[in-house]
Amino acid sequence: MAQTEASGTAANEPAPQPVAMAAHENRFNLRKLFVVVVLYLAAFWTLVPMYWVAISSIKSLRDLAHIPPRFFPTDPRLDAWVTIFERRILENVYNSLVVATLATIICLIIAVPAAYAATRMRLPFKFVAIVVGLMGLVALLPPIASAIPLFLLGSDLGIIDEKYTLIILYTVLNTAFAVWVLRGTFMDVPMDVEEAALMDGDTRFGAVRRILLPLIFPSLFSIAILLFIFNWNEYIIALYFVNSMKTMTLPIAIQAQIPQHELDWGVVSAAGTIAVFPVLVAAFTLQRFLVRGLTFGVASGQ
Amino acid sequence: MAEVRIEGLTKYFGDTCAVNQLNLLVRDGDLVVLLGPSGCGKTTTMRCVAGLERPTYGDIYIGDTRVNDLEPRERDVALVFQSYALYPHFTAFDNIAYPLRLRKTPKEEMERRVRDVAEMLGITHTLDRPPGLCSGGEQQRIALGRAIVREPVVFLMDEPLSNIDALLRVYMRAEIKRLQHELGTTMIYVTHDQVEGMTMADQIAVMNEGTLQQLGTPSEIYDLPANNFVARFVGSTPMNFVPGALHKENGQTVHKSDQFVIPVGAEMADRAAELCPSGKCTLGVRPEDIHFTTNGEGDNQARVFLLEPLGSETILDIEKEGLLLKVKDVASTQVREDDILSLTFNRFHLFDDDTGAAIR
Repeated sequence: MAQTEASGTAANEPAPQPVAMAAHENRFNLRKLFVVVVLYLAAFWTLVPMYWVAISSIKSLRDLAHIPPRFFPTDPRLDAWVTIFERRILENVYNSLVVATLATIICLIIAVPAAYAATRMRLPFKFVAIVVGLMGLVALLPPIASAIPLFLLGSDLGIIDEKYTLIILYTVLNTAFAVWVLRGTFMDVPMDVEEAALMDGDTRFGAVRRILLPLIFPSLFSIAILLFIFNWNEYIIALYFVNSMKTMTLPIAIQAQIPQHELDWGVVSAAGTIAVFPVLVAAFTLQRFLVRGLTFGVASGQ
Repeated sequence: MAEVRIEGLTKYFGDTCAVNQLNLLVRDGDLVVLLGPSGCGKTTTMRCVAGLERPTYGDIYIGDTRVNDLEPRERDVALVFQSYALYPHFTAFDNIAYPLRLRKTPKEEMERRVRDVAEMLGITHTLDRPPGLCSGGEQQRIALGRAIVREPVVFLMDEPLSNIDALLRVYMRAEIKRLQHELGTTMIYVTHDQVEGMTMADQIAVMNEGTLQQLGTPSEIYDLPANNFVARFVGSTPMNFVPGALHKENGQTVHKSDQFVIPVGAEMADRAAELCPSGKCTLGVRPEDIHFTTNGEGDNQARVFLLEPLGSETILDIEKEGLLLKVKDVASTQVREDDILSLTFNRFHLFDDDTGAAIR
């Protein structure tokens, strides 16, 4: 469509100069249009399943089973939501929040000093490479491969079905990733700035707290949100370590909505919608911080 | 305020020796410039004084205290970095106030001292801005302010002027020198720019490959270089070098090279016979110490192949059989390209070819 418009304008223009310009502008617009179309397609592609889950949670049974599928519920109802709250989904949300938040915080408490040491102390390069490499190996290991041995270890220790066990495991599994990413972030901050703080009379710890951490805060926050999303979504380890409502995190709770005999898609969808919500919030916050992180560097002039 | 004494300082990074057996005394209130090419160990030396590096061997004293094992914050030394290393997330005010904050200075006093320093440096208008919104010169002053405000016993400057433009640099180096005089604080100033060194220093320590080549006042360094490295490094139009050997001709010692025969004074000839028995030595002469006549008479004739007018003076580029000499002449020189000049060498130095040391 834009193509015909472009040639149309070019043919109607009398002077040669504006023709060239018009053609140029149109080419530019075409490229822009192409980018926009692709972006909309990508957004459509990712958002439709989410929309589908959300909409399914308020559909009547008839709408749910209708063929061809209905994109707008004809008879919206909140039955599924009532059911899901009756099944104490909020307790699962609470469990997930506690586990994901604490695991994220503890992971950062371990990873920040580790990454700092790996970049700032003059350790032999080989030593750093081996330690960080080994840690990376843990991160690369598929969780299912470690889940069974971890479960055996956990049951020997008698710590299955405890929230703190999940917190410990998530911390361990994510620390390598966090150290790896933080290392890159720390390396971007010139050593000078920290040394200046030392010269100004600060302790090393003070220099990190007052100078380094504020400087990398946007990155730190982004990493924290990523870790939180990892923890929030974690399923495989939880599957092995969750036995009761006391520890049941949201991904396991959603699966638990699928009974053997009668499957209520509405209830599963409602649970799914609840699970997506914090991730969405996190993603939007993350986006704002990523943008801020970029401009922050520019404004600082460093 | 205190003197800084460096005794036998040696610093290795792995197998690389950055500083080798350095002895240096910086007197109280002096401005000493560590001068040398990049990688000569001058910055490492300064960082050892700052406490950012630990010496491998040797001792560093500030005043009467041996500071080897003290943390930077325990040394009361201020450092201005080449990159300024300002805190980008603070305003200029907070940047300057930071050292005072760490010392728990009362709020009003802190406010007053920061404003005083800002006024002294002419950056009062920048105080509310983050350094990223200040010009290079302003950032430089903020960094200076941060160093000055807490009145340290020693200032260390690590090439503080190398990131600002040439015009401002000329202005700032006078400014720093004036500040140092006013405050009377001992300063160690690191630079690779010999003009900066010459203009600012009470004493210059020329370094090369981790060792101290010469310590002296700017005029000592310029007029009596200890070896051919110092001679080569100092001087904005570099010294001319004529390789050759000493010979006796008719009872008179001469420096004979492929191009020239230059008579050597009796006193210097005696010293040379003693210090350099082989006689092989290079003659070094500053561009302003070569005089010439254009009437075609006299020895040591050579051809001018290029004029370099510098406005205030002209440099004559003279060539003879593959040897290039630079000679200083007045701006309104009568010499033209391809003129033949007869050269006389008024003051010169002889450097032993084996050791590079000056013969005197």
